[in-house]
Amino acid sequence: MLSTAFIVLVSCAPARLSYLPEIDAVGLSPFGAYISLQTKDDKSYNGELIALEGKSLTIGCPTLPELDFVDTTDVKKFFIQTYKYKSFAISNVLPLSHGLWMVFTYPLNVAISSSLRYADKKESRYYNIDFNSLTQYSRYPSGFPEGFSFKDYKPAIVEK
Amino acid sequence: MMKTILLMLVMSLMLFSSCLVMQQPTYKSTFRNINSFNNSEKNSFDEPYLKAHLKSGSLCIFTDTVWTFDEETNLIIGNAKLYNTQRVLEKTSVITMNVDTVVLFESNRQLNMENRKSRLASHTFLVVVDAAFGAICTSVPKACWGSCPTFYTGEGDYLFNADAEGFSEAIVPSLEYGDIDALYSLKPNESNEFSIKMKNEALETHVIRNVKILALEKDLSLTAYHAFNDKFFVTDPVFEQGLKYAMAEEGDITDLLRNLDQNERFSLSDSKNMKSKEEILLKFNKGTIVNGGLVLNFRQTLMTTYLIYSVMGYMGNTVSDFLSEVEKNNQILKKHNLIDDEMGGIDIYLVKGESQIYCGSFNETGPIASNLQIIPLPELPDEDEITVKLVLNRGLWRIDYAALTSIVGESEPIELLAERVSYKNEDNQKFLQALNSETEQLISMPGDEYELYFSLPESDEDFDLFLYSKGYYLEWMRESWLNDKNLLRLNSLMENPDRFFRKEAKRYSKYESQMEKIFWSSRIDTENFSSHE
Repeated sequence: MLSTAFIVLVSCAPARLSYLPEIDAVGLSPFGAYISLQTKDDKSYNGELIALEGKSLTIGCPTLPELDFVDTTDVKKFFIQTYKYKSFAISNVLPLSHGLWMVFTYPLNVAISSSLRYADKKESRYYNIDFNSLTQYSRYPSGFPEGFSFKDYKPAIVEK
Repeated sequence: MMKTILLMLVMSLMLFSSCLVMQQPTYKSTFRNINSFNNSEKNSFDEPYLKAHLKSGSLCIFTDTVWTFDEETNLIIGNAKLYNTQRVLEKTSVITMNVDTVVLFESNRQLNMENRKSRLASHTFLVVVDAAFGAICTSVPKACWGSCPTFYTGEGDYLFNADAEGFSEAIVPSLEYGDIDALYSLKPNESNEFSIKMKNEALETHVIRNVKILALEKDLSLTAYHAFNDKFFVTDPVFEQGLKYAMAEEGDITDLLRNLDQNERFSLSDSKNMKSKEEILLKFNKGTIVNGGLVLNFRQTLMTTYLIYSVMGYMGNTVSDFLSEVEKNNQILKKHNLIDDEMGGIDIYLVKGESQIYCGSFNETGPIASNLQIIPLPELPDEDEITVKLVLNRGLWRIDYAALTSIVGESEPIELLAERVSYKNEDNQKFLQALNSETEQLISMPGDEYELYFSLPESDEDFDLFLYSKGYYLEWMRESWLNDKNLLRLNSLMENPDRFFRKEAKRYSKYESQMEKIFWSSRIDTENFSSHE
């Protein structure tokens, strides 16, 4: 168990959200929502929500063909995210053209863009929704297809 | 400007706080059969995207909202994307699908994007304000970047082509000093006359006691250099040895230092300590050089300028009290020059076997004009290869050129006073008198520009020319700086500089790399923006 957790931490951390759709295409993604959960024994799992069957919650690494399985009774808290939030990062770059005034404008821009990003991020996430509702945000909302082998799992992001 | 940005901050914080309510998703519903989907009130969604999860594990997403369901044939028809079990896209086309093959239907509607649109609008406004500020800084770079009077010898008077910048360290009257800069590009006309342009391009008051030319008479084939201790040495370029090899922490930097081409080597500061030092090793062939001298073309990065601006900001509304105290108290004055003392110059060591002999230090404040100077070396070791070590503050210096030269001898310059001063295209006797007198001063305000005319004495020999400028300048306090008052940090600089430079390092390293890149890529015309008359 410990070694499994270690492998997950090493290989799939930080899990990537880049497979998520933009906000205006949220209904057109073939993949499950991004889920980040913490168990009662303080283990963290992050990745694509693959399926929720009974009490077994399956989480896939978005970049590697690896799956994790968590019992819903062990879950302490979680959130799901269904689309990408905006970084508003250009505001961290533009003050660099303000010369030495950037000493003042850079922190202001960082504060503003951070607050915008935080609000956008919060809005893109749903916290601790009930597990019945959670199912429909998985890759396989009706459960794993018949004959599906875990070896068949293909991550959302295929590295070239 | 600052008020606008503060307003933006308040607006965004309000927006931010209004969006922190935890929510449940409402845009997605699932149905076991098509009838329940059709009968659902969810069907009243404006744009119900339909996903059909097939029994085979595949997924069919009807990508537009005009799909139709034929109840007689039990078929769904529409533009769709078909994904296999692994969610790899297999085809995009018009797809006809029997509902009996579907295990689960899923409807999705577009999310409410009003909050996102509000944030984007706020951000767009901020970007426009930032871009406008950036444009101002690009068109008047000295208003945002520079300090101290600048001098130009040629046709071009672009800030970044300045031939010299005067007394950059003299930010209060007590720190007044005379500064010497080489003017190798200055070419007198056939009548041996020449002029230099002096400009105030910053938000500063320049108090100029003297501007004169130091002319080094020498044979046409020789070159005169200014040394760090205000001496002058004549050298013979015939015996000059180019750089054989230069090594810094990042590796071989020989190509960067071999030629006078403004292709400079510089490093980034240590993000943990602004006072962190680094070393550069230079190797030269000794050739036939007996009295050697190390020639270096160098200038500072923006580190010192950043520190001066920051420290003035930390003074806030006490800046005038503090500066007047500096004038009255020598101990504070000593501490006030602390930035320069702590950072130091480029220390030069001649390596002789196991020992290293300190030869002097190149040190000239200012990031704009380069300084081509010499440091005489002690007796060179009896080896074919000469090794010189430079020890310098990390991230503070830009070095363009290094060479080992042969010193012919020391030389005394002839002082040339200005014969005419032109201000706004008219000769001005009052300004001329002020510049040539030790007791009077010329007060230059932002936007002022003076043309100073000189003549070389009759001589069969050639001259190398150097600019001597003496005075001080007062940086104008900006309104926004008042908000940055932080006497604790100021006290830290005065009482515990080691701690100050460690703390400030993190703040500086945030800006540093981009700041350097933008500063030196902004090669555009400089326009004056105000005048005191």
